[in-house]
Amino acid sequence: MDAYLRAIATHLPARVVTNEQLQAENPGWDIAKIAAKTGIEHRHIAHDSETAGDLAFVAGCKLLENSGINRQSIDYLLFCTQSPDYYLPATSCVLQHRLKLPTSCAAIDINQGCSGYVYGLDMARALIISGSARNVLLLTGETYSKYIHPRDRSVRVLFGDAASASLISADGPGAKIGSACLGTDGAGASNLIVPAGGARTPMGDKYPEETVDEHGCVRTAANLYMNGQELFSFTLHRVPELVRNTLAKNNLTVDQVKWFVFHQANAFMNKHLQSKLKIDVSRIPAFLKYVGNTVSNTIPLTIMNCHQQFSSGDNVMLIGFGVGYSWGASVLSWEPIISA
Amino acid sequence: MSSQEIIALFAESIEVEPSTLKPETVIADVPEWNSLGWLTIMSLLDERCQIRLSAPQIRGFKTVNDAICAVNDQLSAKKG
Repeated sequence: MDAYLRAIATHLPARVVTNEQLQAENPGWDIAKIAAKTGIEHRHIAHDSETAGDLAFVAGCKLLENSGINRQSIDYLLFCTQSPDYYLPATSCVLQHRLKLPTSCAAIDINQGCSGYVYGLDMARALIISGSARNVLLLTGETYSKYIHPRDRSVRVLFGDAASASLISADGPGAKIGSACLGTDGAGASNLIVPAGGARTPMGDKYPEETVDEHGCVRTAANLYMNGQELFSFTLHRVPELVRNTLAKNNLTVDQVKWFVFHQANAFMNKHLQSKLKIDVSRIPAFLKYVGNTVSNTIPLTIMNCHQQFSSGDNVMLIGFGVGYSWGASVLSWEPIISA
Repeated sequence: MSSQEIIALFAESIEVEPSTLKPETVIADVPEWNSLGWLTIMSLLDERCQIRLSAPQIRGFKTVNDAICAVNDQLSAKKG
């Protein structure tokens, strides 16, 4: 039994925040210099009343309407998000109803970030191979912007909001999903975190105090905090090893993989990974400039933007890594998929 | 690596003239040596010397010499 990625749809919120807008709002920021490193010029940002569930709903509708799948045949819904609509219930339950999926459909949320798409694909594949499901709808949706303090340069310039929907089925046609390598190191949990708001540090009715760090970035404990140096160090340490292990697990050499779709954290990170792994830049699709780092959405967005270059039979490695720390990589044996 | 070679690598990373950096220079006084500058330094050290400085180490550096010593310690540890 195999599992196939058959279709992808993506959705970006309508509101766009440009570097020029950020510069006008924050005259002290050297946006040109930052953009030269990050490779990001725009990011799409959800409206105040627009949630990750809303974004994923639109991506899901596109997929169900344009892929030809009968929605009654979806028997498992996975929704990967770290900005759920509620503490409870699971946003996937709400989405099952909104997307008019059958009540026989299982639905769970996956709380993962930048590794989340690879985790979702691997879970979908496992569900299919085990016989638990035949058609899995994998949704990703993220609105990190709601966690970001407007005067925190370290994260505001990087992150954008987005959603995606993927159909993974027991039957093709589509890209066959190979074996994944996954990993975790919770020792890095505090390096990319929203510290307050959960049970460990409840918000209650307090409005948390603003602090200014040594780089002049402003945030509260209820905002997203990222230690960029630690994240970079983690990536240098883990990702090359992850790529090598995933090649070995799928009995492939680096030359037998045509495309390497990395999580799009920022251009600087991927340029360094490319040079460290000695992979020609032409084999590393990028889709960052107009969307930023969209967390679990970067890989499906990059596939959607670049898959016209892929040919039947190409091996395509997907590599996600970040918050957790959590990481994962998998290989698709490419056959054309439906761009829903 | 000599101190001058390490200083040259730092200067290249943060895009300043090497002559502007002395061992006694206070890192916080160099505007280009910000968090982005550190990322480039980390990247070049990894690429050319296969060594990694940790974030807590970096936070502890006051002067350029502190960073030079840390790089040399790691290079010695790698050889040893």
